[in-house]
Amino acid sequence: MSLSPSSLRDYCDDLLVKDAIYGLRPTETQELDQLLEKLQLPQEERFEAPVAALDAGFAAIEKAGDQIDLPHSLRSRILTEAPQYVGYDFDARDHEEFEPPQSRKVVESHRAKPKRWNWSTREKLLGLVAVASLSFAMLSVTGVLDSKNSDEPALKTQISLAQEMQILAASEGTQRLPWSNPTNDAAVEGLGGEVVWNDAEQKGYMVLEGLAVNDPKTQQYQLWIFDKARSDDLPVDGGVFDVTESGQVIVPIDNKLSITEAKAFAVTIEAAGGVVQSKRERLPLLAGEI
Amino acid sequence: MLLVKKRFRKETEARVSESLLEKIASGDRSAVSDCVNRYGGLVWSLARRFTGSQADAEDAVQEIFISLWKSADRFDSSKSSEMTFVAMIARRRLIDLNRKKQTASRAIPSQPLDSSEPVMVSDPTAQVELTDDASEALRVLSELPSDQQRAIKLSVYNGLTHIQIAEKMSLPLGTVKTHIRRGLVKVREKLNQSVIVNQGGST
Repeated sequence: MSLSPSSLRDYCDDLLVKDAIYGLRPTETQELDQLLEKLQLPQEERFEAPVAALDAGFAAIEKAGDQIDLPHSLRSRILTEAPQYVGYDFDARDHEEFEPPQSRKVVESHRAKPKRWNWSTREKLLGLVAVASLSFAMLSVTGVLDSKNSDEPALKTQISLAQEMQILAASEGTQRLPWSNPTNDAAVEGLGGEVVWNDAEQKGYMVLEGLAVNDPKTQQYQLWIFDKARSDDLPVDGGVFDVTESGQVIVPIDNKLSITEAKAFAVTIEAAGGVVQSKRERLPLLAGEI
Repeated sequence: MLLVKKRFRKETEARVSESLLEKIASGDRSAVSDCVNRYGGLVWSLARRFTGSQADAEDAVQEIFISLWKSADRFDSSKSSEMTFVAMIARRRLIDLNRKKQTASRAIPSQPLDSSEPVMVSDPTAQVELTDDASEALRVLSELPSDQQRAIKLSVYNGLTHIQIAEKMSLPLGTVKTHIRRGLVKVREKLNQSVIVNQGGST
């Protein structure tokens, strides 16, 4: 049985993928070599580089979240034996100049001002990566509660949250509304952040800065979305969330109902678990106008 | 004269990786410790994912760096970022080591990325130096259909075999292979994306 050219290419790609991720058995290597010769695929058509790039990305996420560093003793062993392989000596300074990284636990949170970009199509593409990386490095981020898809979400790390938000921010029809503190509520300790929302995609994020850490056992924050198609007396529940860390926080908006045209977003402080309808006794944040 | 220029490999790469491997290959001794400092975390992360114990991971890291010293002169900045090159060397070495040990499957990382718990980044100075390649690869991954994302993550990050992934995702084996292949093709396409620059030509 002979394979069609496209099926042959897919089969070859499957072997290349397997080679890049797991390695091949000798018979498979032989088979791949024959296929590569037949298909005349250039080096760029292999998968080692994309897999390695993903490895590097995953490692960076791990490093950020898990503080993975090379053990000091292991580093010393590597440097000690390096001269055998690199063909020259280096002195003790190479060992001494290294200081183990300081603990990252006791540091103050960063309060980065959200940036606004005028996204042209080209800039959107070119800037996306840098923006996402920068956002990730700048953010002190915390939990997402009340998620619609809490069952093993796809790459729901904060780096992807920042990326997703920037992608949404670059989409047509996305509105970005800065927060205000209309009631001078004490829960706001230095106002900042914004809401990024897109009606067409029914998707949005809150960027929160300066909102006080809450005790989820007693009180929680709850988002409300004011829709032009609904009465202001009946805003749509946007989800309950906690702030567990000072600094900047990104929280995906979990609108319980479809929004026709969002005009404002309000955060209230409610009893643990949230409420069906808020009395708005405490309304520390408002974006847009109601 | 037309030049084909990589789109995603410019400022960040130039800043983050001043071609330490080329320096090492040319005998710059200071680059050795810089290289270990810069890529130690990446190699350590990969080794931990591939091995089942701290001791095995440490042995693997040593062997990877030996491979790196030996192949430093093979690094070509026009083909990949230095970080990607290091990751390629590391994965290849880890695959070889695993084969030698006849390891049936890799250890699952203690904290898989697909945890519902978000990553905490408390320290703004804890800069995650992602090269454009890595950042772009993650971005493309995040835009793939969720099944493709998950299949790739389970294979590349968690190290599950295709069969294990098929069981975990309740999908036919062929579908899993297709998800991984199509997803990685997308990543590859983006990384290979080139811009034709008319050098010195008319606009």
